[in-house]
Amino acid sequence: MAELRFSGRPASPGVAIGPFLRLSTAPKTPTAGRDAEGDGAEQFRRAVARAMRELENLTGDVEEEAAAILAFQLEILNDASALEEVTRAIESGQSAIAAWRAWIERQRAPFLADPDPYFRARAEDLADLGERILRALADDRDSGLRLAENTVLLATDLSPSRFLSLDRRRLGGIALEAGSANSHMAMLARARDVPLVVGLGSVDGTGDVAILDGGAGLLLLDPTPDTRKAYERRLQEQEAFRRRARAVYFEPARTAGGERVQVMVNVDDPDALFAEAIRASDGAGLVRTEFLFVGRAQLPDEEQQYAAYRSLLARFGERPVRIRTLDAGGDKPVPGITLDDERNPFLGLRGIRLCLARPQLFRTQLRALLRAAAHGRLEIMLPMVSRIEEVEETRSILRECRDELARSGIETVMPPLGIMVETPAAALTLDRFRIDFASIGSNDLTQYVMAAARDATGEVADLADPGEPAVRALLATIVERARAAGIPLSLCGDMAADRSHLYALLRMGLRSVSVAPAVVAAVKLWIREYDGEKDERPPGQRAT
Amino acid sequence: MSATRIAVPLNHPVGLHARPAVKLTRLAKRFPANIRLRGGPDGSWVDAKSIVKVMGLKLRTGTLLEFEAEGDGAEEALAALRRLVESDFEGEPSDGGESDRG
Repeated sequence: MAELRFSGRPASPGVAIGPFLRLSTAPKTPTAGRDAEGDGAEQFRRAVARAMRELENLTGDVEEEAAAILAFQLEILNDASALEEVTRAIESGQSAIAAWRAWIERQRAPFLADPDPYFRARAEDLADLGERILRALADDRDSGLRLAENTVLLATDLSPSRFLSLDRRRLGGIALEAGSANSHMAMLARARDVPLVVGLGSVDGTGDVAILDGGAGLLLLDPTPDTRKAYERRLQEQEAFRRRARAVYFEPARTAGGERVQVMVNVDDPDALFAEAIRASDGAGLVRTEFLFVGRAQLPDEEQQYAAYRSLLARFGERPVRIRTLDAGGDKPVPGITLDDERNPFLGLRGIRLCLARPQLFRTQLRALLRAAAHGRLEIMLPMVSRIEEVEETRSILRECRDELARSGIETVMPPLGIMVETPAAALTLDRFRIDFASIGSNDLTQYVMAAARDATGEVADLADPGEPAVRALLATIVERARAAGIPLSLCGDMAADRSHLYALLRMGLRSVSVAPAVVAAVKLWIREYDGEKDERPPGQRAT
Repeated sequence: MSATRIAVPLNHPVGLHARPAVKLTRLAKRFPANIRLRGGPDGSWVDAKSIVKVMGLKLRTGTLLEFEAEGDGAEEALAALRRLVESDFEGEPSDGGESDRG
């Protein structure tokens, strides 16, 4: 049989090889007469009781975040007064299924379009619960599904609680025809190292054996012996690597020579950050505040921002949290803020330039940061800085905001102020800046040094490489100038997630990096294996 | 018997989302008294023991929560709810994970 290939979007990295199983996520349609036959209200009561047992059984050995999702659903089923509405609808003639569907949709509606992601997530929880009850009503018992070893599961979509009900020791990987990389379910898959591919579209094919390549977003059915052999080798390497990386995950990172290296995490969406990743890190080296501004009905006000920053500080406790002010523009347009008609947005009004050009927007964010700084180790980081004046202007706005807040009797703390080093201009004058820290943004720095777009394809793609001698030379200059001026230096780009680049940075003397949560364990392991000058391995190994 | 009322500001940074809401209704259900909740003087009163109703209020940070209780254990219920909200919902067990500052 010929090998079938389906391509989707990567949502959780890693390779799985095992028996292929298609899971029907849509509940079975109940037989026509069934609902009318018995007592609908009684059927509903039994379905609720069964769903509660299922949820309670799932709550045993799960992550804190998963337990919270399950507890919320259980509490709804415990809400007798609210569920009475469903029973009344059934008693007035509706089928149990119709009554339940209508009730769930009514509860979901107000949360679906809420600007606050915490409230939006409730719509996902309610849909999950809705589906569980429908399955119980249809008497669909496959929630206690028995999986063969390393099963690669295909479904249209999968709810968080359904995911939690799968036997994690036997599950190989998950392929979804629909789905999103930002769902709760995808978060849980990443936390459990389960390879996940989403957005495959309709998979019209089947096979006995499947290979799932989570990093590449590929599903292969009935692979050829050659493909299979190649993936089996990768799987073995992956398992050995994960075992070793796991063993050092919660240990402070030290080189083979015993030198301490700070490993922090980049935060894109606090809602998708698990407590475990925070515990494994030395702090947040880059919090991208765009999550507050993108995809919302209106811009977040000071209170909303203050609440979000404070919440993040509370979760990081004693660890530092470096919050970057809004970095819109370039490849990150924000409606109503950025310009639409720039000829060359990467060389235009973006980062700190945009913040200074929109003082109202900037002041709102700075006031929220000053207030939040009273509650933890907050640091403010400015993006896309190219001149000293940009930092000084920000500092004077910060002082004005602090005085304003003080006059209103509001507590503030002036946090450390630092910059991203992303432009050659900032790199070449770093020692003249009056700042408390600096962090290299290697993606942008590379594109500005090489004059090659970071997302370039074709002939230019090759040039956008942080390993190019020109980029390396400028990085060495940055490390040198930061040391001479006594400025603590870190790096928060993708570069640190590649072993040979990481080793090059360590050789230059850099002792602090910030990386995506998913690669913290790998980076810590590489640092542990780093043996100074002796280490000159071939380039190219990346964290999976 | 007349009802007793208290007002406590909601300072939990992300508002009353799922986890704190579950803690609130579970605590309210420990008391036999009838307990109602609203968000500010213009809000509508809902049963504080109903997670569906409480979630439906979509209470955001900074809201002044008002509780009203009537019947057996009303005073104790209000005192316990005040402690829960004032402690930023940290007062209950089952939330130990994030206190680990290792």
